Amino acid sequence: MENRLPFTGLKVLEFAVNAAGPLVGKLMSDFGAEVITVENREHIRVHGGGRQPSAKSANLTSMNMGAFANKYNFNKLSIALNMKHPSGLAAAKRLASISDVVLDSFRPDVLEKWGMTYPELAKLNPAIIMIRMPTMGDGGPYKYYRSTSWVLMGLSGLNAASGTPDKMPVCPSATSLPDVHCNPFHAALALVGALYHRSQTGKGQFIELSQFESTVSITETAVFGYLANGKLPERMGNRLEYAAPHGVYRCLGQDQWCAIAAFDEDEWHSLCHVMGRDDLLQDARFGSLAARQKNAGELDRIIEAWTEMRPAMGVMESLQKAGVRAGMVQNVEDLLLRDPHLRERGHWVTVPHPEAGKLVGEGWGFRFMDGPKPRFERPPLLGEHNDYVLGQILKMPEEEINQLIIDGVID
Amino acid sequence: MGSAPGLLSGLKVLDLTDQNGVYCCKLLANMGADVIKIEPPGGHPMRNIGPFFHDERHPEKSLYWFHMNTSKRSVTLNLDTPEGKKLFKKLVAEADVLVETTSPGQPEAMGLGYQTLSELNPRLVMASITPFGQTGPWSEYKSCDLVALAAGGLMSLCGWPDEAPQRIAGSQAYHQTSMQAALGIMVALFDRLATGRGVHIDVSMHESIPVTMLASAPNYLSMGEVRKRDGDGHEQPAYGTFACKDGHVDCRLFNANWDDFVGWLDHDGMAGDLKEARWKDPFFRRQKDSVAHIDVLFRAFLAKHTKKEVYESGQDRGIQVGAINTAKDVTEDRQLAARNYFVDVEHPELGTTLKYLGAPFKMSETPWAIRGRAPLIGEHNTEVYVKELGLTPRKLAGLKKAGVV
Repeated sequence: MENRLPFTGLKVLEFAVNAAGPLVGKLMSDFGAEVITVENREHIRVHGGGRQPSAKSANLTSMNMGAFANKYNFNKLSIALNMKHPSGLAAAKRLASISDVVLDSFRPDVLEKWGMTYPELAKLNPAIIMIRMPTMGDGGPYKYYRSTSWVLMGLSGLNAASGTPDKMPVCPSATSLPDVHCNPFHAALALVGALYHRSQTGKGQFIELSQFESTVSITETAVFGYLANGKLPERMGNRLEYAAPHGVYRCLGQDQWCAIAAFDEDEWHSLCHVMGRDDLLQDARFGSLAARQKNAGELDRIIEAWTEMRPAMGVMESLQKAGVRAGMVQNVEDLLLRDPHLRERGHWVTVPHPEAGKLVGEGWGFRFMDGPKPRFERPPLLGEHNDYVLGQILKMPEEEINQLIIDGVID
Repeated sequence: MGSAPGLLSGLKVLDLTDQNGVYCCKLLANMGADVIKIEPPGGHPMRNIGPFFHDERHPEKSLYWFHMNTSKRSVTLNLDTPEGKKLFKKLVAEADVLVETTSPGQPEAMGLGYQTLSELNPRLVMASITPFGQTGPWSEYKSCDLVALAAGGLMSLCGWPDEAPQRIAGSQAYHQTSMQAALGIMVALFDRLATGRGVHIDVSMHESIPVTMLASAPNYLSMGEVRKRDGDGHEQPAYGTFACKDGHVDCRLFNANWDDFVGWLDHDGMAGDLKEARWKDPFFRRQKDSVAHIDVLFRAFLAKHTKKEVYESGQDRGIQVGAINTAKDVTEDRQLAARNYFVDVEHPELGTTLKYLGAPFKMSETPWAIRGRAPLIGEHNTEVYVKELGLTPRKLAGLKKAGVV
């Protein structure tokens, strides 16, 4: 059956690096939009996966081996355009004038300097939708402050609410959570919403996502609880007020762990039974949720004595088969190579790539049953679509394109 | 409260979610949809989740409930009764979207599967949010925020290397799944404009999480690196979480800002030997001894300043540094205040107005807005069942007596 995609025929012009903006563009390109990402050679650092030069990645200096680009640019078109050259800027504005969406996750002053603000673009193209994702928002005293995702985790109150009181706030360096979580997802939701609105009314609009505000919005009751009651959230680590046990337990082998949680008496009974510890059901220390909370330390030690003799996947499966919530802490290799569920559902899709050999595309958390399926075409090489974008989309004559090459506007 | 019509105004959403979907429906409600929260008679179990207003444990005082159900209406309905199912089908016939979090196969077992419902209403977009998805070897398994963070991989990146992986506060697996669900629904609604038909969306919590692992997958493929939790960083100078005079800050110093950084410390006369030319070499700075040396100087500088001073003076020099704000600090943040981020919502029953978290994004034509506090248990039974579905008041009273509503 033909895979009819919802965004076929839509054009998105993307100015974005790192993860948050490109992931919004990826939603559009995965589902059929023609997404043109405007790149240039100066992006090497962020294309390299956000890593600074190190011995480890020194052999990965090709512009086409960047981890971010190769994860988030699936199905996109790449044009390598020197925006500092007037002809480069002019080409970008022409592209904007025929695009449905302009996506901007650069610093707030960049597109402003280029004169590519929403009012300017709306003059060229009244139905345009522009979405900007400035870190701190489009105004306010901190408008030009620059923050990584880690800084945002701290500013939003999430870090201070995480972890345990005896340690520094947890700020996971190994991922930059808001960049791949609330910020692109809130932004993509607003963007598709704006397209929905435009389809019905013909009207474009301006969307502004402050990455700071978007992150505060997912603090649940950590900040709201303070607003209502004047109380700071308790730092509970892996524990939870309304479930016990609720923790992550060491399993057999090197750095192997399994999360286990019991939210009611049935789950608690099943857990004891699987552990071969029906005796605990008679133990007053664990006779109710309140009692288990009170004696959580002892309970955790009893559970860990059982888990640490067993492989994490075995713990997960034996508990799940008995109706207990359990999940092995899977690392990226587990997810890519071993997770039988992701494999059967086709979550990862391997595609060939001329420089990387192969890349893995990732599906979404939602899928349309008997409906459109996301595309998995490999990410473009830098500037791979210069000719197509200028010649086919902008209908620029060949001599004009050649002049741009001579002038160093495209490469 | 009250503002321009929202993006989804005119659309009806039935909210049959627990914690794993409630934020999805909050987003849709604040985008203007008429979201009807369907609760079992007596109230939804989520009303027992704290904290509670003034710490008074009561189903009408859960701050979790308040936060997650803004702008929604509530009806009570017992879906285990034939009358309840009949009423539900009437609601479905009028609805645009149904979001539900029962386990795979359960709607069918109740006679309320997508097939049945879409025959009643072919335009229905139905999102089924489950721990692992409708199919696959783990589809029957149960989950929760903690288990999803673990199995989905995010937790492998969070915490300290010498202890158990840690969760991040605020139910981030539930949030991620809800955002994926809302996005899927929005794409389906957009597509419905072209096809005129709804669709069944299979939302898997397990499959929602791996995207949060940043570039772990491509880095694994290209370098064989299995990224693990490494605390808060510190593989580079001034890179991670640091104590200061009154709390903590997070600083991420990049090569391009080295001179700004030295100038920052030097302003207090605390740059030590960092002005010497050899420190300009980024490879030299990344050596273990170099990191330690720079961080000693940085910590001494930080000990003299509050987190707010560090945040503002560092950022004014272009350095990516921020305060690790407590909840209280967030409520006092100058930027959020200047942009009127927090929103007042009236609670007449509590005799007060509470401040809420505001919009995650701003749309010029179709603003996100909180249009009212979370509903009381069954607050809109009469409005929905009598005024909108056309039941007689007597019939409603009878259903109440029979425990259906």
